[in-house]
Amino acid sequence: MMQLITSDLNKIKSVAILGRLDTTTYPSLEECLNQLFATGTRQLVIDCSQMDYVSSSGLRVFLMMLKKMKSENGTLVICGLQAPIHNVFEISGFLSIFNIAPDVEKALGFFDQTKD
Amino acid sequence: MKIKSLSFKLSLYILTTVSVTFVVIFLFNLSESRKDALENMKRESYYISQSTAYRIESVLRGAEEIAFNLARLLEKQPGISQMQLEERIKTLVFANPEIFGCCVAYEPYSFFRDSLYYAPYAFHSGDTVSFMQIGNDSYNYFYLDWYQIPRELNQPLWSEPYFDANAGNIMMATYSAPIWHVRNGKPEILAIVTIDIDLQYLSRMVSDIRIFDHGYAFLVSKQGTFITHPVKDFISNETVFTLAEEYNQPYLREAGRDMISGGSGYQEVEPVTRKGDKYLMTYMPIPASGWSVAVLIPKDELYAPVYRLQRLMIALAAAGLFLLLVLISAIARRLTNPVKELAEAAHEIGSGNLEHKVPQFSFHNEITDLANSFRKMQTDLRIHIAAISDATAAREKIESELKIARDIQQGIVPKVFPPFADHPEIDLHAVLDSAREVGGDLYDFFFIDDVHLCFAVGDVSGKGIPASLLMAITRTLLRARTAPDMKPCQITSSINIELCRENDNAMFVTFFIGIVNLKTGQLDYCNAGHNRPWMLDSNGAISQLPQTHGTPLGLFDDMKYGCSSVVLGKGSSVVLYTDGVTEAMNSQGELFGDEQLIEALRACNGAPPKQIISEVYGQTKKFVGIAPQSDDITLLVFQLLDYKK
Repeated sequence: MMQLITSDLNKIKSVAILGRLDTTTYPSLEECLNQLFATGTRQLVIDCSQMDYVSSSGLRVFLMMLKKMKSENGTLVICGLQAPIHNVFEISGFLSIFNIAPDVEKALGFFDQTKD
Repeated sequence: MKIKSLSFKLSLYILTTVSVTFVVIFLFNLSESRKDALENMKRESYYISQSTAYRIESVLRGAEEIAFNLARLLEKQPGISQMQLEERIKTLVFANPEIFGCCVAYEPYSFFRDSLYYAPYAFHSGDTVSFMQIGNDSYNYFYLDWYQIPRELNQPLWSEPYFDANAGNIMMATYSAPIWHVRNGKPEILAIVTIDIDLQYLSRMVSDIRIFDHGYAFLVSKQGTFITHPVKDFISNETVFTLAEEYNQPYLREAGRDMISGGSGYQEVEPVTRKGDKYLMTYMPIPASGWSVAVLIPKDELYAPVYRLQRLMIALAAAGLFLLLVLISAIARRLTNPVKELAEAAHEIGSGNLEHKVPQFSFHNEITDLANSFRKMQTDLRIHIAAISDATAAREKIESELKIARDIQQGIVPKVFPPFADHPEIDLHAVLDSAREVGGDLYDFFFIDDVHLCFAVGDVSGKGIPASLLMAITRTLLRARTAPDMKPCQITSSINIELCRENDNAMFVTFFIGIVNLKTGQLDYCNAGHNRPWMLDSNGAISQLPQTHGTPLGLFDDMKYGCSSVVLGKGSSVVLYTDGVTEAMNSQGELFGDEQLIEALRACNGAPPKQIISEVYGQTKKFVGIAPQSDDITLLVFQLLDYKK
């Protein structure tokens, strides 16, 4: 139903979500992100370009991670939102609280700004 | 017993097979043995009759030779004196105990010119030899068979047996040989020499033959008359043919014909002297006299040893079969007892006693393999049942949690419609259809004062009890924090701050709240990250309440929420919903979506709230079809019929 692909871009980690992020699949994403955070990741891109659906449970995981990153001065960027999901983000006002980028390449710009 | 035990079947099959085999062997053996016995006996009786024939033949040949020698002697000594002749006869008889008597019967006036008869006769009488003249007027031997037939035929021959009342008073047979002399240049018969054989003497030779209990032998003459026979009355009184006639035995007659024509062979004949089985008759000619000897053996006695052997075999076979039966039963029991024990154990285990001990066996074979498999099955079953129980318990726990969540959710939302009977200027209807995993939707509506009606819809992130509890808290906070003259954004902010406390899990609530002034139709609203409601005008126009004023509740306690307002015309409706409607999914994974929602709303132009809800909800359900409902579906429709006076 859902697959996660974790990549290492120097100090920046990226997690690509493939498929549906809902009540049944969010725990594995939560576990994956907590693991990255626990091992010191403070620069993280979540690539949603292949994510078909997100439920409120999934949004909650994003929010959790955002809170944790903020508390440690880390940076979380969400990129590649498809139109229906972008709509959800818009309705819920999440567009204003997350760093949103159209793709991974653009997402890396957020880190260039914050570092150095 | 309906069910035949394995041991019974095993015994039956094996014993039947063995028995049939035995019977076949037995019958074959019986037939062969009988054939053998018959062959042996034929051979033996052939030898017996042959040796008997030889012995009799040698007696007869002896007698013939004596007669021949005497005849030649007398032919060479035509002038022998009476004394010399009589002395010679007496000596001859004395020297040959196997002959009874000897006579030289002269032709009339041949020995003495003045005497018609001259026939000196010497014969055994006890231990001595007696002598007599047999020719006289009352015994005119010239016409007797023993004299006349050889004389006429001009050759020596044996007489039929006859009773001699003259000298010995015994049954006898006589060999007669002519003596020749030359008279006037022509050969003529001078006398007849006779040698008598005591038939008792022959009879003893024959009756010595004893085969089994009732086997016997007899002699017949060349006319078939009995010369010897165990039944004394038959001798010279009966022939083979008279007996065949009397006892209606065509085979005996046939054999008789063969006998008198000098044949030899075997013939089965019915017994005449006793009741019983048939006799095997072996007969053989005595060439010297043309007589025949016959040896008769009762077949039942002939086969008696065979039958005795067969009886012994049957007894042995029966004993063997019995032993086999005992053995098979023992083996079968040994085999089936463990199976029986296993069956009982299986029954016990099957009836629920999983702790029942599966029998242990000391030996090792297929049965122990079965028992081991059985033990493994029992263990697996125990583990499996335990797993099922755990799973069931877990499922029941989840089910009961879901039920609690649903009860919390359903118990907290108002469900009496129409809700405000004393406010005819408005109509309101709502529905909350909980998914199996409760989604945490909520709606509420209440009058703040006589003019201001508050209505709200929310959707808690997550599912189950946590979601339903947060939903209950939100609804409680909504009621608690709402006061007259408060703007929706103030109420929202107040709830948000409260929900942000201790919310480490980042649970959040998307929330829409509207407060409508029934006198003016002004709707103030605040949207905290919720789906934008739709507004239906009385003239059929559809529009969305455009503004959102911040993120969902519970995330950021410093979030500043704003308000928007819109004026509702008479007959306008506001349709609030959660993403359970637009994100309702069918089995192909497609979403119901905004377009279909708008379409459904369009179809309800001017309809009352209950009908709008029924239409939208119905369309959603129809779209989802057989797919399971993944999220709560919530709809709330407020309709302003008229301004409050």
